[in-house]
Amino acid sequence: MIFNLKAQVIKNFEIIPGYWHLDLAALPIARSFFPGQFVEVKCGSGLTPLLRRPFSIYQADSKKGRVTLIYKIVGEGTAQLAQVKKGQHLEIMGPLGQGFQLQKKWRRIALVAGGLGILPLFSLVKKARAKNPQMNFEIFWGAAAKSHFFCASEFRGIGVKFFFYATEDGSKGAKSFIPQIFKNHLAKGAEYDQIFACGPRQMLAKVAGISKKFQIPAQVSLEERMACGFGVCLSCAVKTRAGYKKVCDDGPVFRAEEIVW
Amino acid sequence: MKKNKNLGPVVAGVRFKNPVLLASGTAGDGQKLKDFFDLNELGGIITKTLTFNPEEGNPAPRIIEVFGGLINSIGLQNEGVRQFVKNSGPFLKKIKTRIIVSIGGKTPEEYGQVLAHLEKNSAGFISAYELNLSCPNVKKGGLLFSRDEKLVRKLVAKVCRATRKPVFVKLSIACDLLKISQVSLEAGASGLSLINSIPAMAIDTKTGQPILGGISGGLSGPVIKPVALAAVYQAYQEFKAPIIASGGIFTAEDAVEFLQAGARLIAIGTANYIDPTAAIKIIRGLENFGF
Repeated sequence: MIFNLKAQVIKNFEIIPGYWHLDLAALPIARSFFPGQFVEVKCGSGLTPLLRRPFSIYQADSKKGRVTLIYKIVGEGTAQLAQVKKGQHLEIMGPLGQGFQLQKKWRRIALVAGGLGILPLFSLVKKARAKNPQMNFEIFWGAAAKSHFFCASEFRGIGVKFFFYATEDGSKGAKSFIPQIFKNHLAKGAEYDQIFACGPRQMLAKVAGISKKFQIPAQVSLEERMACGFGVCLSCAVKTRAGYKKVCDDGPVFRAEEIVW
Repeated sequence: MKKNKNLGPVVAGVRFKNPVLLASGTAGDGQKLKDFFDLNELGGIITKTLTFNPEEGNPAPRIIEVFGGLINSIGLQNEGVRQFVKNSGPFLKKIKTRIIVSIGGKTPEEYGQVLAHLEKNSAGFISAYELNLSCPNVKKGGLLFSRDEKLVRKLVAKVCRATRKPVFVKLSIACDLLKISQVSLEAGASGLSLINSIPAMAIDTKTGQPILGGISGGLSGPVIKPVALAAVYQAYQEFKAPIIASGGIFTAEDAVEFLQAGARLIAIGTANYIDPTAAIKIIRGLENFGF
């Protein structure tokens, strides 16, 4: 069931320059969402911008009925979103899409994230460890610079112990791109039951290659320009081995091997 | 005088409970809107354009938002008429709103094949057809056909002969609209569907390349409303034929403009993406205007 509702803004504040944290009161969405799903938010009150903007759900508190989004100001929509004050309302639709698939028997899971690709992975780890404390997650995280790893402490708080960082400027971890770091780690003999990856398409394509080479199944969360967000307009098409599928409805999570990279 | 809620417009012999339809290509077969409102409240749904064989559609990106609207280059992705009847038929049979099926094809023969299959297999859930002679996103058929007067005459006549149901011809302003409207009506069309999205494109200045995977696409949304309105007005003045109007209708007041311009029915498209309950709000709003 997809809900379309007016959510009250509980908090909307800047974390680091350009990156914002938004808490919304959206009980039906908070209660029913699965990690990996997203919401579509109407930014601004007029016709500019026109289309809703999709955001990964960072986390949701089903008791308090809160949905948390973290967003970067990249254009008109997000710039308007940053202007919204506590107490105001936003039209939000969700939860949308297919989330990550998790199996109880898995023990070691690798998460590969590029920049804000880390966001949908947080609630995956939180929910997984709450039900299956024997599951261990290791994060391979690449970003532009050190300051972008602002939610690392939240992952530590839910029991993630191993972090491998890579930054474009070398300010933290290797001065490299994260797929290479992940590949090196696997080449040394590291083993995982599953890979979950989210980030720029180029990064995901590399992870898909690594998944195939090391024979570790991978689930990737994709992005594509969206209009409706709920599967009617066919705008967000991605080429798969079974023809074009919709990122908003058949995805955003796909098995890496399904995608025609 | 209070409007009797049970009496909507009769257009080309078909009773609609109200003048509000969902536009082709913007609602699929209606199923995915179930969570947002009761589909039975709608005047009707115009389905995604069907071709005989499945069509893949264009490579991504398939949309780009522009000022006042969006450009889409979907490329008629659809599962083909045979799969459509299998997948969507059972659902469409159950809902109590008018279903208008949009038909397309790469060749005139293909339009005929789609229609023949529907006539044989749709068990009565179809109230009318919309003939897509205006899709700007395909290399064969669609808009291209509407530039050939003789072809249009032949195609429309063939389709209209093969069914008793009303056929509305959907046209673009990128053809000789009044001429092709005339030819369509003379060839047997019950009415017109005006307008389809307007040929448009955008370029990424960083690369110098078109942004859309299909290179160009169709512009829709509030920005095209004045253009659509002029097309509907002119066509109505000229032919006084039944018209389904679409193009940037977002509010009940927008809908009223088109009804006052001569349209009998209106179709909502892009507005559904911003607010999936837009059609219902318009239906309620129209009641206040006495429609």
